[in-house]
Amino acid sequence: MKKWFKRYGHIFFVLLMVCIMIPQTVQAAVPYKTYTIDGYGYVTETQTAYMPKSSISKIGDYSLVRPMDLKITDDGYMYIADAGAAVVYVADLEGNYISTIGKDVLVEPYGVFVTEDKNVYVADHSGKVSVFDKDGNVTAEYFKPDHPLYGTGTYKPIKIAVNAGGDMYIVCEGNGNGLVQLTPTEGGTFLGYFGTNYASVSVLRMVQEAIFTDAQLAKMVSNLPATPVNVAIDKQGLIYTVTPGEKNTSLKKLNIAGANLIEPDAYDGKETCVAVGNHDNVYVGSSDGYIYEYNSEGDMLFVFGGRDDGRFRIGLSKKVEAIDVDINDNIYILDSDSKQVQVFRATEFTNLLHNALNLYENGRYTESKEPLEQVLEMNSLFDYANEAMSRSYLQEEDYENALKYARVSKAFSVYSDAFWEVRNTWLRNNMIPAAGVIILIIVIIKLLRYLQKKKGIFNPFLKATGKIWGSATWQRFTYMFYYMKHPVDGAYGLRYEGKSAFLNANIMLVLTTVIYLINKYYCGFLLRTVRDGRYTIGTDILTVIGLFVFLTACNYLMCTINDGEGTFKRLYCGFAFSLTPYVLFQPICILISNVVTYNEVFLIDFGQIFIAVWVLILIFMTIKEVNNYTVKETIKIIFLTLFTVLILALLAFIIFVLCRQVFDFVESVFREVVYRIGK
Amino acid sequence: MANKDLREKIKKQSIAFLAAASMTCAGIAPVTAYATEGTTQESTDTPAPADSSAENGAAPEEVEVTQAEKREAVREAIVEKTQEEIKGHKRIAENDKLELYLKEENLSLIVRDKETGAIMESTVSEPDDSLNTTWTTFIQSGIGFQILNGLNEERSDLLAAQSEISVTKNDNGFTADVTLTKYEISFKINVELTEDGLSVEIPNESIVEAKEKVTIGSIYVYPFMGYTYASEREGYIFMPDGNGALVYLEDNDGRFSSPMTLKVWGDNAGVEESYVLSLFWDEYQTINDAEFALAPVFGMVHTDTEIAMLGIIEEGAVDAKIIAYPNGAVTNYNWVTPQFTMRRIYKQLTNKEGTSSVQLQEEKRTQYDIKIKYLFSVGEEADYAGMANAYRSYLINQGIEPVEDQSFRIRLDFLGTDKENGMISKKTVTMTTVEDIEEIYKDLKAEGITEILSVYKGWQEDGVWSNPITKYKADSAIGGNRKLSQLLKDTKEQGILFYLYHDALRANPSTVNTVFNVIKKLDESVYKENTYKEIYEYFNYQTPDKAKERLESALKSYDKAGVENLALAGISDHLFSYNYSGKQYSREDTYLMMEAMIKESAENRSLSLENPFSCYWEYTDNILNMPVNSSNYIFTDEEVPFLSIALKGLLPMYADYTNFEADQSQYFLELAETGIYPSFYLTKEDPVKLLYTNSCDLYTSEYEVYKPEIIHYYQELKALNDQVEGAYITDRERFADHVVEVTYSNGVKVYVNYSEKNVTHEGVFLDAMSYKVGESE
Repeated sequence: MKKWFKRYGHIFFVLLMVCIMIPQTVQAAVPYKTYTIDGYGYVTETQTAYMPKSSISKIGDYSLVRPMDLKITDDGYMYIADAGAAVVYVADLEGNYISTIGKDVLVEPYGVFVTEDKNVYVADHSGKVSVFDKDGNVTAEYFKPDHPLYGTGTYKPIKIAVNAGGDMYIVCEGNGNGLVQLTPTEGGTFLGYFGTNYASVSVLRMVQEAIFTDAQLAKMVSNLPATPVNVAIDKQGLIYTVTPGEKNTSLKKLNIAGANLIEPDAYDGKETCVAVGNHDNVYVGSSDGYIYEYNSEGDMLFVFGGRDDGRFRIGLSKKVEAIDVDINDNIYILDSDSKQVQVFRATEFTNLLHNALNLYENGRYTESKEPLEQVLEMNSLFDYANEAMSRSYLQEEDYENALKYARVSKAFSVYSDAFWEVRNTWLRNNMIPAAGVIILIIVIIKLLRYLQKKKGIFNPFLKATGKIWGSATWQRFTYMFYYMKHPVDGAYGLRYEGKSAFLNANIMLVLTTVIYLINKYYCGFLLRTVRDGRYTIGTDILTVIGLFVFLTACNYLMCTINDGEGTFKRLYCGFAFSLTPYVLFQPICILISNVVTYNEVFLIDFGQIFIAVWVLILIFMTIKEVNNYTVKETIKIIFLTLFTVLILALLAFIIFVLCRQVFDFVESVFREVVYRIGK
Repeated sequence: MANKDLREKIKKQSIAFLAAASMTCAGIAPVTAYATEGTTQESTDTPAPADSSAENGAAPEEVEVTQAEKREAVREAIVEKTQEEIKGHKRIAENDKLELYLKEENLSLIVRDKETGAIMESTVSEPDDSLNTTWTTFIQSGIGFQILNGLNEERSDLLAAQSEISVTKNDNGFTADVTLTKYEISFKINVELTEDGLSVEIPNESIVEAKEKVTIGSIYVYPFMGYTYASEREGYIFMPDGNGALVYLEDNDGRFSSPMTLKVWGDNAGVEESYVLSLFWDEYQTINDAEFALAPVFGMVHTDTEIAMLGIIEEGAVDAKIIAYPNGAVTNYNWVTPQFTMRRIYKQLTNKEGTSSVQLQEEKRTQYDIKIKYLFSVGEEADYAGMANAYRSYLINQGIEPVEDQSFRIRLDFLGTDKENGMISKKTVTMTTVEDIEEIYKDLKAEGITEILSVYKGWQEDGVWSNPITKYKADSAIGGNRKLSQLLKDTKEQGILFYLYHDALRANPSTVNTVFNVIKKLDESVYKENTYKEIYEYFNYQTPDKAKERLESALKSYDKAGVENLALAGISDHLFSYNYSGKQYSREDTYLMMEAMIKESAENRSLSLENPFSCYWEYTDNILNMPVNSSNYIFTDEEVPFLSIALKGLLPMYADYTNFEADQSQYFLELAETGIYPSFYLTKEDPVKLLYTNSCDLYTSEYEVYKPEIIHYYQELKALNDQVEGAYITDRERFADHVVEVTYSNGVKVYVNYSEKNVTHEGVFLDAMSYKVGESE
């Protein structure tokens, strides 16, 4: 990358200086920050993607009264539906008045759509969809369909999109069934509901439905699916809908069959509008003024903007109602509260990114690398560019570089593929030397064994350290290996042979903690569950040890009142020894995890299950044998222990809350005193 | 330039800019309506106009001004000959240029320029009848007030408060003893016509508040000085937002319901801000801070009668706001005024969550004199460039001498180290070591780049956020004291200005004990500056006393180690009132301490200040992070480089970092136009390494990447600035074809074409997005 820049840097710069930018006016400091998203789904700051360019509050001499929707056509016209003035204004992109549509026809125009051949469809909240030809004459009006399948849903059109065949997709206020799909034949035939959202069912809801009476259920907020609030259509006829509060289905991209093709990796919760860009990208506006740009897969590229909380700064919004884009990537945002259209223009940086996006999305990976590199020059942390670079390199079979970029962008699947190839190459190159090394080691071990047998070369060492190996501590320590294999005898040993010792149990516990930490922070990248650069060692240690001691204590409490014969010490040691398989085998899993790809990840999974089952069996046997229980009693005691855990946790929580209130009270009194004295 | 031409130009500009800058905000709610619940706020804020109009029942109506009315207004604003009396005002003083007229009963002034006959009035003689009584008397009064009556705040003025005024005339003006009978408050005001303009003063000791709990909240001094009515007149209001901003005196169609308020020298951290913090995803602060009002200046320009007034707050700027009311905001008048806060009503929290609180009136009045100087310029000088020239002369008179070395330098700042979380403890992330810097200098020297100014951030032990610094101790990761000292020596020999960055205000609770010696807000809660980052979540501010003690200890250590250049931050751009160990301190107190610190640091040392307020300009050798633009307020019709015109040739100015500009070609032109020197923030390593540090917003900084641009910026801008070295900017004009023309005192002209088309401007051919240097005829 650096080399590239050295060689072509000046050309790049001249390009920057001359052609990319279309500056309009002298710009001030932008009031908002722009963010992009990293591989973990967290936002990171980046260069300004779009700058406030201008604002339009008047169409010619007409001030906007209650603007609700806006559409920009490719040939440079702007259509604004003004519900207050009950018309649709046509203007150029500077806001100069051209004509008015639907005077005395429209009642409450909430949504507008313009087809390629300039037919204007208006969603009228009063209960109709009006169609105008390019001269503004009404050509059709569609009222509520009286089709049996339409059901009891309302018909208050608020937004509309129309495909090339003239089929209408209408968003109706409060109609949870989805978009109303009408075809123009026979004065409007209802084709069915489209893009229906699913009602979410929570556990609480399930419980409520199971136990509540009908009267109580009737009082609850009905659990209907959320209604989409806006719709857009792209050149291929794919339908985009936004539904606030639906998380990763808040933005949907639906094919003709109504199947969703997109899953946004970031969402707002207050989405109000959606528009399709010129580079297979999608823009979503939230009512708070945040504008999101996604690529065709739903990866977020930018989010910018924000609420104007009395700051009076240009570029912030109050209530965003509609969004659209012109062919020069200028974004138009309709703010119904401040009754204006704000125009944002793409910066040099964004133009570079769009350039890369165009090439990349069309599969021209190698060509896309150049603009991508330029993007990375300007922001080396830009995640989308890193990921696209990794895919490009993967395509070009440059696996080392693919691996590098995939690691930065946390593109796990690319990383896995690239790693497979890199590992393969390594194996191919090192197979023979590696085999040689292994054979050598085996030979050396054999040789040493032979020498020990014949000459006893290790005898002096064994003699010198004999004390350690013979000591009771070491004996008890090695007891864990025995315990692991023979839990019944092991437990017997704990009870009657004095094999329990806190020191050894604690050593086990420390080892477990250490291995847990290593596993958490140093297992293979593909299997890691924590973010890079995030360490919570203190909490981790407390969790492991605290959990162990707490569970042991709970179990002990239950055992003592259920005729258990175990002492706390024995149980403690028994449980600690039960962790032996984890201590022995988890390190192997950690080592392997660093060299596996997704293809072999089952090895790790298998290892984990193996360890878990073994540990659980040991724990079960410990409880049973140390307390001298039957199997039935053991199961009972396990359930009782879980119950105790629940109760104690609840108790701790209550005490915490009470203490806090007392503390707050004391503090309030203190502050009050300070204030009284201060007075 | 002829009057008509200028007007034409303004018109054209306004068309060009309207699209860019004008934002309708008919629905914008008043500032105070958003005040955070349960926190302290500055209650002496101008009462939100929407509130006042609601309470007083006076909302302005939209006014159509005809051409005839406009002509009449302009005619009235020119008084051909010296008069004994103008509109009830008697002539009381004059000098070579100006005449001063006074109307005693409301202390109203009229200033008349002798040469052109243009007048500026300070009160409205025939009030608009759409206004209610409160506003009707306010606009007719020379001085206005916010009176605190217990916990109530009311707007008042000389007329409404039934004041007794006794005027004593003297040679150059008058002194008036004023008693506001209604509130039993009295004070003295001195008005004097000086050689360069008009001076108005209210001495602190003359203020007497006789009634308990009835006190002065704030004072407006000649709020209507130079006012105009609706779009009757042509011109603009000048506001010191960032580099400078203009608000046109044109019909706003009721776009604005609130005034534009700027706090002089930034916000006060000790009192809560006046808007709610709305966080993105409940986590991220996505709004960039507004630019500071670095200088306490404001202006009113009447381009039709060619008279410009520049107001400079000489005393009392620490607690002053500058407020511009364009027509539509409360009244149909356009006016700009300073407001001096003396006392606040604040909330004292009585629990931690801030859900319960009591309201209190500030015990003590902030003690300071109020003094404003008005400078008038006429004819060709009656524009923002003329006012900037006047301001420069004023600064020079005040003893700010042009800095000796003003030659062009490129600013290359380096980041040494930062910290990221490690498994056990925090790990050092090393970005640029001393050796790296030496190498970069060597590399650049080979390209002919030698004139460099550098600020080294994060040189201190434990990285860039390890504050406060109490001694000279470089982090071992960058090479330790020995190597750093060597670098300091080497750079001195090579003529590179190399500054060590020293934040003398912030205290990082992770690296220093912040239980004591950090400031509390007026509501007694400890002030925390949130970083919205992960490693260090917030910083505290040290009390000025402690900051001074620590700075002094550091200075001693620097002296010993031979550190001659120091870049001070934190104290140069923060002023606050605060509470500490049961005592309240005002912004004035803080200012005095900060000034002492900066003064002390400037002794025997080259001092560089980040974002310095105008009160510190005399101590600094250059200005770091000079704003190139304004803050993009909806009121702003045009941005003008007022401060850079005033300061070019006086102090070298260095811009914000080019790295983070998304439109670099435009930024480059702006630097060429304003004469501000370029800045880059560099690291040797790839900034990807910073991802998990508090510097994670530094996303592009690698030297190798920026080298071509550094060379380009250096060569181009050095060539340009060498031609104007030591010269002042005398004029700056923006034309309708997006061409800006800057004239220097040595005759050099710089033409900048901001449009995407090639333009031939006054016979000079300019490529799209380019600039050219020419000589004036």
